[in-house]
Amino acid sequence: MSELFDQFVVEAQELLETAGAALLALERDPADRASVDELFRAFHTLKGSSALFDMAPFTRLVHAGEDTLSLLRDGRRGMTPELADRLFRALDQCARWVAALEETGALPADAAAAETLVRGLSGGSADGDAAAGAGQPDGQSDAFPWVATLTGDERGAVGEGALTVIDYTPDPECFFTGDDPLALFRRVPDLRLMRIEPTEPLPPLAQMDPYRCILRFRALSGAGVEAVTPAFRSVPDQVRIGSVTLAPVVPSPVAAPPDSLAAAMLEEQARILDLPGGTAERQSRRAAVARTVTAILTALGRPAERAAVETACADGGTLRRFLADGPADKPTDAEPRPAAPAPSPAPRRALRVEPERMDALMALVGELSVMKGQLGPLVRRAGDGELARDMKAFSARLDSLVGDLRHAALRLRLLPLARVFDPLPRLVRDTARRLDKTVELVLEGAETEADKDILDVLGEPLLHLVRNALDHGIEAPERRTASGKPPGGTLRVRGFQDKGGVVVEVSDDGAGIDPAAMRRVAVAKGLLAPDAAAALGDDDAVRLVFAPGFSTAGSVSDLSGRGVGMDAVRAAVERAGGRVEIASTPGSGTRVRLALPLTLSITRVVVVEAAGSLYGIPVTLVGGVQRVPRADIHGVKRAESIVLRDRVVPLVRLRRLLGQPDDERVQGERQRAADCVVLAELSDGPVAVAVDDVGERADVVLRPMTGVLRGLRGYAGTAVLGDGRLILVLDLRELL
Amino acid sequence: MLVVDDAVTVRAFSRRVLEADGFVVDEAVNGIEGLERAMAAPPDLVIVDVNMRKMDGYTMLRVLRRDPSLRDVPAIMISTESKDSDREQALLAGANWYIVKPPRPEVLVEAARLLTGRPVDAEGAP
Repeated sequence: MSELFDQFVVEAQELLETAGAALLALERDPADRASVDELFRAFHTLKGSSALFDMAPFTRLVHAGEDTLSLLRDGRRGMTPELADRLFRALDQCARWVAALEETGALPADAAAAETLVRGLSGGSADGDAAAGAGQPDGQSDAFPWVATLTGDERGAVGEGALTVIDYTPDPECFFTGDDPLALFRRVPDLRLMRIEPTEPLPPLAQMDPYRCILRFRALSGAGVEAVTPAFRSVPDQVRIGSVTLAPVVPSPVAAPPDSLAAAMLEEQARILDLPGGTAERQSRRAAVARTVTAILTALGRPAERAAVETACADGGTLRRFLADGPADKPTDAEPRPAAPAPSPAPRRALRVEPERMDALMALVGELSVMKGQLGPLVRRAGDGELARDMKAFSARLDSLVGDLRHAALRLRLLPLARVFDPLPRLVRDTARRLDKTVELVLEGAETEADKDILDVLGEPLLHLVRNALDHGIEAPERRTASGKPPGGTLRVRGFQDKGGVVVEVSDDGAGIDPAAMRRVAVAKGLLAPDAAAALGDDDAVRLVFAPGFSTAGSVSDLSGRGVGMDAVRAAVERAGGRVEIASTPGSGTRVRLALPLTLSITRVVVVEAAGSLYGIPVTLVGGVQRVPRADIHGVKRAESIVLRDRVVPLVRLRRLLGQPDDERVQGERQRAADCVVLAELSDGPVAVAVDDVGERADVVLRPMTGVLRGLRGYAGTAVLGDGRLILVLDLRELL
Repeated sequence: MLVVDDAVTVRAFSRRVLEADGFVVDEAVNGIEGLERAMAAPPDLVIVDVNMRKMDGYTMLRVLRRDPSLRDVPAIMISTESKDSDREQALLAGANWYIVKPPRPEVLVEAARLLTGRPVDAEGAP
């Protein structure tokens, strides 16, 4: 069953997600019919699918949810924040259970304890609606669906008419509280049927705890509810008692084994013939009944002429008579009709691939790219004969194929940002409700794709940023109104692709961050000397939120800004080769931008040259490349700087960083008129890196340093360029 | 035969149970797709869920019963509801048999064999 089980887990996860989104939409607009339907359907499907497995608490919980939603759907109950909370809790519980199912294959042992949630839902008429109270005897048979699954033999044993149903799931610890489930049933008058089933898959014998009761008792009694109830007086919370009316088992006139499915089906066909309906409708029903009856008789080894059956299908009575004395005794040697070949099924389903296999594929693609790169120099060496021309054409085709292959392999790992956006509506809803703020969340670009590794990196920081924006950014409604803003705040989360990477922006229209307050706190915490703080530009002051040790709970309250864990956000993003930017306008809001590479497997670098060697700088960190006239480089001793877009940017020389002698062209008489400068965008601010030359941009597979080189700081790893040349990829944050 | 249900788990369950008994099983996720598949290759039996988006099981059966080439195809309706009124509604829509979810594998197989004319007691594939 495990494949089926896996499928259930995946289906349940999807349904729970759908349900969560629908519930959020419904809470916003209680008149949203489509969302009610969506939500109802999700619970309904979960109920049906979970019932295939032995997970009664789960099925009960979603069943209760379904019942509540059907009241909601029929307008017999209104949506309230409390009801939404209950449904959210139910969804959360289900999600936890599904996670446990995925992990261990079974519900956690305490699953049965979730009955309070079930009661919260089904008995949730606390808000004054007309739904039946929990625990009351229930007159409807659909409260006890198992009754409908009685086998023919069981039906015969219990008889017909009004019966009392008992559904008793003893507390697992019942043996310690003195309850003896079986003894209770001995006190039930006119007990006609009892089923004992395990509530969870039975553990291997060695692990079985005989002192825990993991059984469920289901029984039918001929006595009335009031006569049965006293037997269970000591366990009212563990038992459900109700009444059902069982239709009489129609004695079949067919010469088939009594109580057989076939007999019941044949009788049903007779009933169908007598159902009301238009002429055309009844005619087609008749055709279906005739074919069905023919098939059943064939299956029973008593084939009949289709024509004769069709004649007999005039009405129910005729059919019953035909079946009673018809072809019953004719021996048969007819071939059973084989099932017709059906077209091969093509249900669409996503493929689940082990991450290791993906990694292996990516590694191979990387190797292939490198091998392909070495073909170029070989071809060049071949000169320009006919063979060389053919080789060039071949090499070009191989080039584009390998490019396509790499692109395709990369795409396999791409997933939409929706995966990290999906939890946000719920987070915003819950947090805003807790803080008594009104916040509208606007999500944009959820379809933007990024590598799964990157999404994993993004998830936590994003939650952090959103929580911070709600907590410290967006003001309470009164304060917003006082400053002339609408009482409800807006939080915008936007994803898009930029420069071969993925960018996620979180912006709010809250109070913004006050640079003056940031300077004060930095000084108070001893992070900056007073004069250094005073010299800090406003942007740099705001950027202090990312400084390690800046933000603690104490500092947050006297700041209009944010703080908790912003350095953790920055660290996580930078570890993945990305960067964080922040822009804030006091009084009107804050925008934080996370820029990450599209994937961790392939790094896009700008190739630069210094002292005759090639290096790579990750493109995500490069803000621009330009030539800066020497005259524009201002030097104070050995510290140099340039002015870029009205900002003073420190300038460093890569040669010096790497411990290489300065370019003699710099020292010599014929000084170069300009320097090649790569603008590195680091979280602390931009730095201009002067290099000897700037080459192409290249996608490389980054290999971390190994062996003795591992201790070397300042290098992210090595990589091989398309033409086979080796480069060192710089870790500028370490170097600078 | 054709299994129409929007729950992938239920479809997979039915497929597994029925294929194990030698049936050839096709799947569809809603009434519309079910009708399309049935029209493309008339099945010997359709097993239809009630509650599906786009087109529910009742509607699908009604349309099926109006199609000249499909109107006599035996149909099982499968539902989580066990009330008599639900059963009645299924039969009115055109079902020949009604099974309450979750179906027990042996019941599903026996019903499928009966409705397709395969010997119930004999083992083995057709």
